[in-house]
Amino acid sequence: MNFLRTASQPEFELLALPHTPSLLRFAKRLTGDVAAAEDLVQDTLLLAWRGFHNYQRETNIRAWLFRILVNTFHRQGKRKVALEPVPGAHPAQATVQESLEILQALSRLPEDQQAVLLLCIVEGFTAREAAEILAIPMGTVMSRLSRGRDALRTALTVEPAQEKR
Amino acid sequence: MTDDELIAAMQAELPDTSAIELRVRRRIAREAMWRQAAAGLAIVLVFSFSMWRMLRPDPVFAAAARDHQREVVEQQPRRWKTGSEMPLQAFGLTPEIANRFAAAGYQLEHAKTCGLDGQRSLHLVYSNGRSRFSLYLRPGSGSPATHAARVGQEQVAGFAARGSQALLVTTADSKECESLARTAAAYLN
Repeated sequence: MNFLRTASQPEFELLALPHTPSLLRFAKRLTGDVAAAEDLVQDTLLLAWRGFHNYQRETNIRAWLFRILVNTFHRQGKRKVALEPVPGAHPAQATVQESLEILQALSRLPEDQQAVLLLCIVEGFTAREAAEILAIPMGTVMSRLSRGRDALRTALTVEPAQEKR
Repeated sequence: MTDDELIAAMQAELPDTSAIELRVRRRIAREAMWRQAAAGLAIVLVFSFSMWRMLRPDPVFAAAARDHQREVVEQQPRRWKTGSEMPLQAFGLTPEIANRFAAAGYQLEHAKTCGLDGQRSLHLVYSNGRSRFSLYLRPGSGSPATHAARVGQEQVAGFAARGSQALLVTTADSKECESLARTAAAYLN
């Protein structure tokens, strides 16, 4: 009868929905497709709502939502379809080129490195939290983070030079 | 490239999530409504089941009523015993005790053993020439007080008699049934 337990709808909306933008940002990188990312986030939030009675209030809801998102993505078995920066980016005019270069370079990294960089650097999760979200050992998170940072740095120093040629 | 540059590049992507949030809010509201409806239905079902359990006839009463309907009302062929062949002793009765109903105008017509709700029982049939009733005796202790229930066409009264559970079944009304049951309890004990 667990499913009949009335989870508080206002509480869920208050706690979970503010994280929709960061979930969508991560989902876009994960799927490489805006429509797929939106579907994934919607599925994630609905799954979270259905399992909200299992959510332990003292834990980090962002980490819980990201874990659901990653699990849902893997369960759906969808692969990345595009590697280009996704539409919807509206950086300030002065930084447009710079941001696009960073996003392009990020998109070319292996998927597992991208996920760790996004979770740890952009979304601000600790290595432990990222490890839990991705269901991998913390040591793996650390090494992917280090390799990802190096690869991104290398890509950004080499690519502009190649493009000028 | 620094972490700050990556953060800035990513945060420049400020996706509009209002459409997703609206869709999610609508779905959640719909699901919440269904959940409440399901919870309400579950409460109604549990309540109905409890009421049914409370109000349904005792299985022994139901078995006795069924047996009386077939064997006495419909007179389906059975191997009845009469006179000294009646298996009274096995249930602690003597012909004298079994015939005490004569005082109330009822004669013991015939008897036989039968299975009643999985237990071997004695079925006695009494008649006053106009109507008949069945008296069942089965091992086990029934409620010492007389209690009665209507089961289909039959009126059934249960009481304790001679260390057994006694059930009196008749098609007469409840008043007549209870009166007969009280008489039977007095004669048998």
